[in-house]
Amino acid sequence: MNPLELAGIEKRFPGVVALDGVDLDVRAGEIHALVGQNGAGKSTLAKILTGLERADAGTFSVDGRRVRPRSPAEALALGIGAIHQEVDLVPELSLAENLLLGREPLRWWGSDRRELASRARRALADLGVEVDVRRAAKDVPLGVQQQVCIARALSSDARILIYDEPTASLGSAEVERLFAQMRALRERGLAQVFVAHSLEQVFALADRITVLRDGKRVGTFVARESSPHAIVEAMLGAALGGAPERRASTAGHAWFEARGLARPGVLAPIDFALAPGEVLGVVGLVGSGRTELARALVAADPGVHGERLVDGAPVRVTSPRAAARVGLWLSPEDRKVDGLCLGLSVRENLALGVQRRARFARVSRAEQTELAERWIRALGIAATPEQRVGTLSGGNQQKVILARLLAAEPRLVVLDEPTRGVDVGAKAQLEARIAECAERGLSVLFISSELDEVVRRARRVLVLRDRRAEVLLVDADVAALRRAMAGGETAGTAPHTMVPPGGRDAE
Amino acid sequence: MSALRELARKPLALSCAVFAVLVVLAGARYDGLVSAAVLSNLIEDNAELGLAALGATWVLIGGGLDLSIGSVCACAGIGAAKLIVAGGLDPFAAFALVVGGGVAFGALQGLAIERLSLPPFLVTLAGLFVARAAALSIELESLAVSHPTLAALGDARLRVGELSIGPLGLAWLGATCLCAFALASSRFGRRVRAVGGNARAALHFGLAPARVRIELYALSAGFAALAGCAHVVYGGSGSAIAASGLELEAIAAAVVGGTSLAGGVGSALGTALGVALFGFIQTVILFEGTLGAGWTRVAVGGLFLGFVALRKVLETWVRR
Ligand SMILES: Nc1ncnc2c1ncn2[C@@H]1O[C@H](COP(=O)(O)OP(=O)(O)OP(=O)(O)O)[C@@H](O)[C@H]1O
Ligand SMILES: [Mg+2]
Repeated sequence: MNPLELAGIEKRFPGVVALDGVDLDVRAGEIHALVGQNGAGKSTLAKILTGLERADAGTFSVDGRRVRPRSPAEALALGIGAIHQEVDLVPELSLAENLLLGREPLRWWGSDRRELASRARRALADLGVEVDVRRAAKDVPLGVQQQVCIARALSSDARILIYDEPTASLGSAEVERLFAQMRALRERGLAQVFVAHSLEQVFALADRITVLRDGKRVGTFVARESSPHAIVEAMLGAALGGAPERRASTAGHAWFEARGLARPGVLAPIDFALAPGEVLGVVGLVGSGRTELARALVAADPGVHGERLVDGAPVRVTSPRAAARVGLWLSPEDRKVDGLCLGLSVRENLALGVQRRARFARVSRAEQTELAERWIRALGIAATPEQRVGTLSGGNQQKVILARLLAAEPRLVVLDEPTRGVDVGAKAQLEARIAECAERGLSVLFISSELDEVVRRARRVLVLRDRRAEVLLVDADVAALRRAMAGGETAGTAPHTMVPPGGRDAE
Repeated sequence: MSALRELARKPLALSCAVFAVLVVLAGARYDGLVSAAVLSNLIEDNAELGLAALGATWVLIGGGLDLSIGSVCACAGIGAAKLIVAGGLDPFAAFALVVGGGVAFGALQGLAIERLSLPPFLVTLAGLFVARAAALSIELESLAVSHPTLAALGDARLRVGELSIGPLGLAWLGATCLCAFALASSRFGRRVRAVGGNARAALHFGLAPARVRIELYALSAGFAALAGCAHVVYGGSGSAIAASGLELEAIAAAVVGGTSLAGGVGSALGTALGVALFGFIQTVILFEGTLGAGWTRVAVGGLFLGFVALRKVLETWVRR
């Protein structure tokens, strides 16, 4: 008898079958990965497990007992805790209050603060986390917030933990720490379900892997006897074509140049130049200034110094709007915040991007639908043009944001972690699409923590360290990037160096 | 200096500072303005608004909005007066009844908001009309109440040094302390802050945000009804057209005191300060003495805006 058994789970939303007869069993002391393309139904399944949604059909049992949790509270009472993609704590409450919310130790005059703090401290110490539990949740790093979520679930005696893309907002050190903790919990005999897109992470952690495709279970694989290749094939239902080869960039004249781009206290002055069709990679450890550089370029924050030259002439950029007017667009790292109008349809969201370009011309309804269909096909978005963006799966929402950005036909886009939360198949599509745009002259500033992706796409890579430009590497491999990020590499070139025509591909 | 900055980051501390500046300035201009007698009157005169504002504070912290406060207050006032005059009830029994009625009315609004997932703005706006209509259907004219208990209440005073505080002032100050405590360290208070701060997280944590919000609307209407009772005690009469616009004054008082319209943040002491600011502005105008009735409102609005602007200036200056 397993701690968690699901059989024939079905869930329909208007117009979509999100889950279609899914079986899943999770053993004690097991990390069970749940993988699949965007919209495959992973989050829906996780929501059913945690009582946020209810299955239309199928059976759900915990320790052999049939259950039907109707709220997270009921799921928690059954011993099912959840760690969600967006770390969700109440920002204004202290860590201790967050950890024990609803279960505070009480005295006759109210809650016992000292006891509250000491219990919270113990629960966190149990996970090896040292932090002042009286600090407000909003004042501690995301990684710590997530630890509080885990401690919370554990301290309410959860024996089954569901993680929905838990690494999506963490830096690599924090990811390592989370994994160490999950392994320790496995030793304690907990059953853990792990939703993820990175197969590297899945194979590093999971004992078994269940693959979903279009709401159906394709199969469950034992990790040790399987391979990433087999999993990808199961996910896509076909072999994945090799990632598109990098094209030789016709390194023409630099049309765009940034000189002394800086934000005092946040980013030291940085220079770089971009040729039409060029992809410039930007890498660095968490906190090295990658996102700051992206935001500084389009003046997303106040107090940015430095010059931007377009076609040799300086332009005034004081806001992202002004940046867009001269063709510079940012796709921000945190797309939830300022990304999409969740209440509007996919078509309307895409039309918003295009309308800014053609300020007076009316874009007809038919044109809009055509546009939406084109991008849905191009990026493999699992949606219809008229579907409300709020009902899309997390990964598909990100694709819509990218589609809107590219549909606006910018001259330079800054892509900050564009493939985070996007499945493997879509990643390849996305890369191909970016390559295609680049061929037509789009310049890309490509920020990513997935170094192989960067190496594949970009010839020149700007390495940031401690909020300044460390070095500019040309045709470097992953190992060289790693070394430079850690601060060991010196054999680079000056940031202005352009790739000589031909470059490595011609060798 | 850094400790001062840290302090100034708290909205409540900022409000206090600006208020203090205002008091010093006004005190220098008008003789006898800063005195125990004026403070005593200020407390007693503003108990009605103070009680209503406490309810508004709770709802705002929980991420909601209650526009029915003024109407519920008037309805409770006229209802209580009618019960005493026509029904021959003891005032306290009448007060208990109307407060109970208020709580039920608020819970009903909360149910409509949560179960039908309607915007609080619309539901409580409807509540505003309904409660006002109910008040008018009880009695069109204002209803004078004379009862020995009320007379005794009106004369009762607690003297602390030079201060003399009546039963209404005591009720307001007591309720404020109670709410301050409940918000800071009761289970309910923490739940409310959690639901207002991040409803999704609260739901994931196993709280029931819908239930908490329903309780909040009940609480707010309960406070509004209590304010209506205070109105009867204070003026010796109930009136169906009293307290129009009270909800906005209550919300403004809460916001001035550092309560966030976005939910999750706020304090009962801050709200008391906000109410005191309103009372103080009115007192200042009274001392000025030459303003016509219409200009009084303009002056209140102007001074209020001045206060908020000054606070904002100070805030940006501190943050720099
Ligand atoms: N509330 C809803 N209304 C309508 N459709 C929905 C709703 N929630 C989810 N869906 C649909 O159900 C399908 C499965 O979504 P789900 O969020 O489970 O995908 P996922 O596997 O988590 O994808 P991702 O990797 O992108 O997060 C999608 O097609 C999505 O559009
Ligand atoms: Mg998902």
